Amino acid sequence: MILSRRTALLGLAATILPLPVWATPEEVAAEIVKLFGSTPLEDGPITIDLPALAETGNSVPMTVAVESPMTADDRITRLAVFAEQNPRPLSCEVRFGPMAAEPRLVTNIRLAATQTVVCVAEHSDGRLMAARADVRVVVGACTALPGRY
Amino acid sequence: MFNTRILVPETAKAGESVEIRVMIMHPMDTGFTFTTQGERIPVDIITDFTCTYLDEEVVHIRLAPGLSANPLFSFRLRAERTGTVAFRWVDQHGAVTTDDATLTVT
Amino acid sequence: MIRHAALLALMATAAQAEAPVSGYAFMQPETQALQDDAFANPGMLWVDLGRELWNRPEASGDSCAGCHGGPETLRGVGARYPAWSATEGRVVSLEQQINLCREGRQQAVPLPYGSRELLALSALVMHQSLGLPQAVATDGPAAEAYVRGRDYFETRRGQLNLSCANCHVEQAGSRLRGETISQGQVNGFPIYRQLWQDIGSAGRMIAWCNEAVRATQLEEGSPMAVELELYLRARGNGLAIESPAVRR
Ligand code: HEC
Ligand code: HEC
Repeated sequence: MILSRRTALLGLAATILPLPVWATPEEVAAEIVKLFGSTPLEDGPITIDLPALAETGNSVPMTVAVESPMTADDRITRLAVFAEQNPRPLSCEVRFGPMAAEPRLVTNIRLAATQTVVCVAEHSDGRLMAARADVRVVVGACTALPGRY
Repeated sequence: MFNTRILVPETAKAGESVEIRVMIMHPMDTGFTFTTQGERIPVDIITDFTCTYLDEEVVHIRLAPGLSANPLFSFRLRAERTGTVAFRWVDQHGAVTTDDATLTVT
Repeated sequence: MIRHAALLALMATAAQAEAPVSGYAFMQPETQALQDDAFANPGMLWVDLGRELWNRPEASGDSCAGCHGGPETLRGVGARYPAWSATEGRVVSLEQQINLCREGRQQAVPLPYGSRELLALSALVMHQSLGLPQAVATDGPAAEAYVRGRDYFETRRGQLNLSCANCHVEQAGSRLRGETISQGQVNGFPIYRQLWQDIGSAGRMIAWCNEAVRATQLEEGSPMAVELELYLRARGNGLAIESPAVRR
């Protein structure tokens, strides 16, 4: 069997790269354990597409995608997005069912301030992968100018 | 019932990865904002969204106040055969909003 | 900062020619992209709701559709409001025209300013003029209203003692607490404003600006408010209608 580039990438992530565990703020780390258990986080083929500079934290466009063949026994089953500096870090959690073609989600998130966004993806074999992206926020969600109107 | 927008292509080829887009009118109140009278607006959010195709799950999303108001999602399903793409939103009070469309697979 | 330079260049040209520049030009590409996305522009939720209301019969048994046909028959109408009404003997805003039809022709109660329904119907009507040049008439009987609107725009007010023009003419293009001040054009209204996480009328925007300078509020729908909107529209005549626009 010829290994596809995707499978090769996943293999790379799982075996060759060391498995760094980021120093994620405690609250986010606790949320990750609550949702996914305490399996260590590996680097993985996750792409987080976020603007480097967001003019409003009230709505920041985000695309998260994981490279995966999405076959019955080699697939991404779950994905969660956390904003480290938000009062409640979890943005959303997605379960990919049997009809999902790709582990990919586009949405708009709120960011209270300039910060790091962390994505955690769960593989069908139980492995957990993570990636992060930094966003500079000009006007954070919650810190409005005059709020009455 | 909330006002929703859905975008499902009319046709697709079998095996194709098809983009689905949805949006729902909802304030997704965080609990951190105030009315013009200065009263705190309590948390009020949609908590769950599911999309099914041929009665099987495409995605199930658990929403949090960290998503923007009027939540927007796009994601991809694998076209198999002609059937219904169904959508279901549930808010924190248990109110359900549904919508659906037919995807014709050629 | 190529973008910033481009904006300054745009402003410089605008200042020379005194050409109106849409608030769109002052937004980041992500905000512009959201406005341009005909599906994901959140304001389109109100346009959809407006279409439902358009087809709903009121007390008289008539719906907007019953008399007007499809909303597309009103293409071009939104681009020339506020407009002089001979029957009312004054300048009326689009919101007021909608309520005139409701009260006078549908025996329905007028929709309150800022209500979801009125915003939805005005978003629907304005959206029909998408891309058309704003063309508000300021001649004939509307001329006096235009002058009063301009006076309001140029008069200093509030604890900060600032006029609309101080910010939106003199300071356009500069920064205020993280905001780049635009020309204060209204060609995108009603706008979906991320700060509000909601759609809002020109009246709500004016209230926000007046609050910023701690000025006495203008009552939405009052003659002065409508005349100010007439002036705001007229000073942006020629700008393409963007409703519903997306702003930060
Ligand atoms: C202290 C400065 C200041 C003053 C004075 C002020 N505004 Fe504004 N205005 C702003 C800022 C900041 C914004 C948001 C950013 C932008 O679009 O300029 C804004 C936005 C607007 C917009 C929305 C523009 C768009 O493209 O959506 C309009 C319309 C507007 N102002 C009208 C007015 C009017 C009318 C007055 C006078 C009653 C006024 N402003 C006074 C600062 C000011
Ligand atoms: C019983 C019939 C009737 C109903 C119902 C009705 N209208 Fe009208 N509407 C009219 C007439 C007649 C005019 C005046 C025609 C003109 O000025 O050319 C008018 C004028 C208007 C105008 C201004 C058109 C212009 O060219 O300046 C708008 C906008 C409008 N209606 C919106 C609505 C909306 C929105 C509704 C539903 C809430 C509605 N109308 C319901 C009959 C109706």
